[in-house]
Amino acid sequence: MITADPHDLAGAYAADALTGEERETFLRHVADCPDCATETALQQEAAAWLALAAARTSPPGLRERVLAEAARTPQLPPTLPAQAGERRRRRSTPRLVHLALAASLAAAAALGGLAAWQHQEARQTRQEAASQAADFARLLAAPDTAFVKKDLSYGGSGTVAVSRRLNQAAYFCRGLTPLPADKIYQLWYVAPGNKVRSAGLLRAESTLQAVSLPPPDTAAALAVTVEPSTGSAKPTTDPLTTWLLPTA
Amino acid sequence: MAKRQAPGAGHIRTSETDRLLVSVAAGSQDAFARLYDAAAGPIYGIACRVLQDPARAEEVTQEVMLEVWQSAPRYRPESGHAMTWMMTIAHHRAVDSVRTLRRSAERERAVSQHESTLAFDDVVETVEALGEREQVRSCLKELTAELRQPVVLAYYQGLTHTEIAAALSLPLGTVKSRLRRALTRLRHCLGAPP
Ligand SMILES: [Zn+2]
Repeated sequence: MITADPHDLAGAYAADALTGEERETFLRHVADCPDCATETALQQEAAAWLALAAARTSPPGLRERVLAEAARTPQLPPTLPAQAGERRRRRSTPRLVHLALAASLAAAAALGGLAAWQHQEARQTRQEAASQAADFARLLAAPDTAFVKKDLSYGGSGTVAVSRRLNQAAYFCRGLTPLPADKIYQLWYVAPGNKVRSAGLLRAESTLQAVSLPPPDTAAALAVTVEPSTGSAKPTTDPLTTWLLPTA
Repeated sequence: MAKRQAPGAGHIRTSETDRLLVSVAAGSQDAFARLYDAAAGPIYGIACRVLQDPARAEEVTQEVMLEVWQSAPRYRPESGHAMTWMMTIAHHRAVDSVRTLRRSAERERAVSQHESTLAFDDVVETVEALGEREQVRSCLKELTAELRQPVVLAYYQGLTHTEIAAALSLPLGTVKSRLRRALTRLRHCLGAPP
């Protein structure tokens, strides 16, 4: 049920009048439409007033419970550094991993071979992606970089590129199975002793995706789980796939 | 209920809530306590209004505040005000919860039809009951009825645009564009929230 003018959906979205699938469709549109992103932010400001107007004194005792729970709950990591560039270009709702052209080229390299990448690299003209491209290029060119590829049982394939020397890693995938709007893929580093830390969030895209991962440090494996759309502090579901990372 | 105040309404200035949330993002529990004082009232209030169930609203408020704590490191001051960010989370959770309840009772159809009439009468009442923010009430009243009805039904009663279209006998596209126009006018009337 998509209207001719997706701009009109910003109001329905901000008022939470859309249902799951339409919401998801609209969010996909917003990610690529700066006008709608701005419009949505403004509509949400107006909607927030409606909540403020409904304020009531909150129940006694709730404050203490919430503060105590927060005190023992870890916070989520900030979003991936790779997203910073994207945020500068478009002012939009938190949108995770969709990287620019350079990243796709890097993904092509990991999935399809370096030659294809080098060929395309020559045609790479997008200035804004240059630093990301440089990061990926450095990783792809490092002599010790290992590529660990797996076909994913739930659809698509994923490759981890890791260089112990650079302490740098990236994740490339394509054809991930789309998730409902309230779910997201989350990547995790697993270090010896089963120490798990988040390595970032991943929305399913139909195209190639490339994600700059945080420094792997001592991580021995990368895992992916399905989590609520805001991500989790710790995995709440079993890993769908695990990649064992080569040691130094 | 005791005299209602809008906790956080007015006594924390715009940029202050934004700054508080940034401190929360850095892990400050002290800032989180102050942020709770600013946001819990509106969060609980909107949850009560959408859910019509104080106990569920209390649960939702707790979930939302915890999500605010956990997700604070992902808040970007440049992409909107802290208050907007928190109210967006709160409203979405409240609506999600009421829809789940309606569905799980397997009477979605019946409920939405029942509510069509109820909701319709409620629009006026809902607007009148907004005691906390005189300004919001007067801006809502300034809207024409055709713009006010959809936005009140969606925001305060958690109806989907399909349900609103049925309640008001309007085409879907009209509901969508009226929601947008209503919010645009409200924003012009009110400005950015704190
Ligand atoms: Zn658009």
